[in-house]
Amino acid sequence: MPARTFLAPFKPNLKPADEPLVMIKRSFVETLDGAHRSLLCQSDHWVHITGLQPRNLDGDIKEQAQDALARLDEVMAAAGITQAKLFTVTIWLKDMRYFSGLNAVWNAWVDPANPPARTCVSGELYRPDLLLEIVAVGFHSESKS
Amino acid sequence: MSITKTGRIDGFGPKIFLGSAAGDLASVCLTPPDRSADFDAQTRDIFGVIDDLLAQMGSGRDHIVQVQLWLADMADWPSFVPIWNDWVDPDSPPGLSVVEMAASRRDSLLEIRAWAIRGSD
Repeated sequence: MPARTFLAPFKPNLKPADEPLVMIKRSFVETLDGAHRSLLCQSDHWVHITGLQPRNLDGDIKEQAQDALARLDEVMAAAGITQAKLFTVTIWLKDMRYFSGLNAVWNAWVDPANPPARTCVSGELYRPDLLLEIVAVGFHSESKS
Repeated sequence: MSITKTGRIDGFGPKIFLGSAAGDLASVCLTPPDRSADFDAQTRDIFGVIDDLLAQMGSGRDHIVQVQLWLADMADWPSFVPIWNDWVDPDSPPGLSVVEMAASRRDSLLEIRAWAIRGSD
């Protein structure tokens, strides 16, 4: 029998060919002001952390940013990654007047030798006392599923 | 590995594709197809296009991992929630983030980007 070369990993034909064989793990399933959402969604290599907010909405920008990053650490730990595995970070900031306060907290949190790629854009958030929201995407080469 | 694109838009506006996929990741991003519709209809129309384009790229609604919602007016957020809750599986929903945008067009009441996982090609 001639040798065969597979260009792509062989996938057992458990489902029709047009249906993707993917596993998505969702956790921190909660509601955002009544909207069902999962804070953490993971596939083989991707870690999506969406709509992460601070819990102390009575705090100023530094307090809210510290709590949001502490919470990001908790969710990343649940996903089995650290900040070194962050692919992109988007920070939605209520107002650019909070930019310096955010950056002071950010700079204390990041690994100075290997900070994540970050975007920061301002926009009004869903409640007036919420000053920032984080969307982070991580990538790891070892399959976790 | 190549990039798959779908949902070509041609017209007076920008020439773009709404959907794009590479490897195991797919993205769909769009504003409402019918800007004369009210907020609820604009939202449902966008969800319909996302379902359609994700299916064309070997993914689907149950494979969405992240949704970014931009609203022209945060006052529409309470109207969005029940439509969203009808669309997602409440036991296994995607991620969701909402931000108010500086609307470039007053008739486009929202814009949504969805990221979804699919089987690699």
